[in-house]
Amino acid sequence: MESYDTVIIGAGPAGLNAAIYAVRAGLSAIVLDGKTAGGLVAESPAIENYLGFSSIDGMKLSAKFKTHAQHYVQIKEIEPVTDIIRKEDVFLVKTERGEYSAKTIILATGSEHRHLGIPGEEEFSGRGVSYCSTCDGFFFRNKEVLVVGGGNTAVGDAIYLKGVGCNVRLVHRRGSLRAEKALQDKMFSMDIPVMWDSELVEIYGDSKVKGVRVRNKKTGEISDVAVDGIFISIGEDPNNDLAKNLGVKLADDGYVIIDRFSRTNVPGVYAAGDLTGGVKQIIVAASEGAVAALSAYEDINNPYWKKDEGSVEGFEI
Amino acid sequence: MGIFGRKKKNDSPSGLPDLDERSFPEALSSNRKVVVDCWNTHCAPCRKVHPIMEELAGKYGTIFFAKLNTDEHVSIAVEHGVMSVPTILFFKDGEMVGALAGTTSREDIESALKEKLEV
Repeated sequence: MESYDTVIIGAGPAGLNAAIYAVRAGLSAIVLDGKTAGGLVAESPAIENYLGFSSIDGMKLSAKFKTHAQHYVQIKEIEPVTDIIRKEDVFLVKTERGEYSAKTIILATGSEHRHLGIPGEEEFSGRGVSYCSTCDGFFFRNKEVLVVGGGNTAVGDAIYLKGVGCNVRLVHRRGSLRAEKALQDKMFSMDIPVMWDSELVEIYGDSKVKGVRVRNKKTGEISDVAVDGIFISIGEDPNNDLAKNLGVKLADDGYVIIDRFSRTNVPGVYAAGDLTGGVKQIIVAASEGAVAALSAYEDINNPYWKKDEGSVEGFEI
Repeated sequence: MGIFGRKKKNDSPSGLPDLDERSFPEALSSNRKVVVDCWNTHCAPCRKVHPIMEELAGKYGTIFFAKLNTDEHVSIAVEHGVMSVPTILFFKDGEMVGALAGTTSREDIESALKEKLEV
C-alpha cells in the first residue's frame, strides 16, 4: 500500500494549491479526485477577479492550476474515494481502485450545483435544463433562455449566453442582485432584462422544454413564460459525505467547520475550499489549501493533539 | 483515422475517433453497436467523461466508441436531440436506442450501456 504524509481529496484550486504547499514544505502527498482536476472553476465562462489574470476562461485557468501542481505531485483523476477509516495515528483511504495510508487528510471535495427541486427540472435535464452555460449555451443560439439566480455565477452566465447569441432574461427571487457591481454593470449595459422577485415553480414541455411557470413573490401572480432553455445558477451544496463519515463537525448548512488553521475537529483532518462554505471564490479556496497544507506539515512534526489540551491557539471550534 | 474522421490537434484528451458529417453515417452502417460521446471544448464535465469512455471502449471490444464535437458538427448533434453536453448516444443496428445526458458517473454510463445495447 502506498503511504503518504498527506492524502488530498479533490483537485480543484484548494486541493491543488494544498498539494503544491505540502510538497514544497517537504511532505509526501498525492491528490485523488473522483472526476477530473479543475473543480467547478473549469465551468466558469470568464474569471476576472483572480489576481494576475485580467480575464481568463475557467477551463484555461484550471488547466494552469493542474499543470502547476503536476510539477510537484501525482494527481489521480477518476478515482473516487469511497471511504476513509481512522486507525490510531493513520488514515486508511479506500478508493474504487486501491488503498492508501496517510498521516493526515486534506478534504477539498468542493461543492456541486444546487438544484431548484421543482417539477420538470430532473425530467428536462439535458433537454433544455442546464447547469453549465459554457457547455450548452451554443445549443440555444437565437433562442429564448432564462438564467435563474442572482449571484456572480448567474450574472456571469447571463453575460456569456448573451454573448453567444441567446435571447437572455435573468430570473431572481429578490429585488436586488448579490453579484458584484462590476458584473451587474456589464449585464445591464448589455440590456439583459431581469424578472425581479420571481421564482420558477414548474418547468414543462414535451420532448424538450417549452416553457416555465413563474410566480411573482410580491403579488403571488403566476405566469407562463415560453422558453427553450433554462440555466440554473442558484449556488452549490457541499460534497460532505467523506467529512461526515470521518466525524468532522459540520455547520447547519452542511459545510465543514474549520479554524483559522484549516483544521477540523478531527485531529489530522483539514478542510479547504468550497467545502468549508463562506466566501466561495477561487482565491479563497487556494488560500485555505495553502493553510491546510502548512498546518498538516506543522502537526505531523509537532502534533497538537499530543500536547496538553488547549495549548494550540485557535483550535477551539 | 480512416473513415472515422480525422484526429485534430489539441482536440480533447480522448483518443476515441472523431465523427463528422461523412463518418457518422458510415460508423452506424459498418458497426452493429455504436456509442457516441458528444462533447465540446467549453465543456468541463465532458473531460470527466472522456477517460471513462476510453476505459469502456477497452472493456467492450464489440462496441464501436467514438466522439462528436458539437461545436464543429452541431447539425448532427441537434438532429439526434442533443441539447446539452456531455451527452452519450447509443445506436444499435443503425438506430438510436437511447441517450444519456449530463452524467459523469462511470457507473451510470456503464449501466446505461448494458441496458441499451444489451451487453
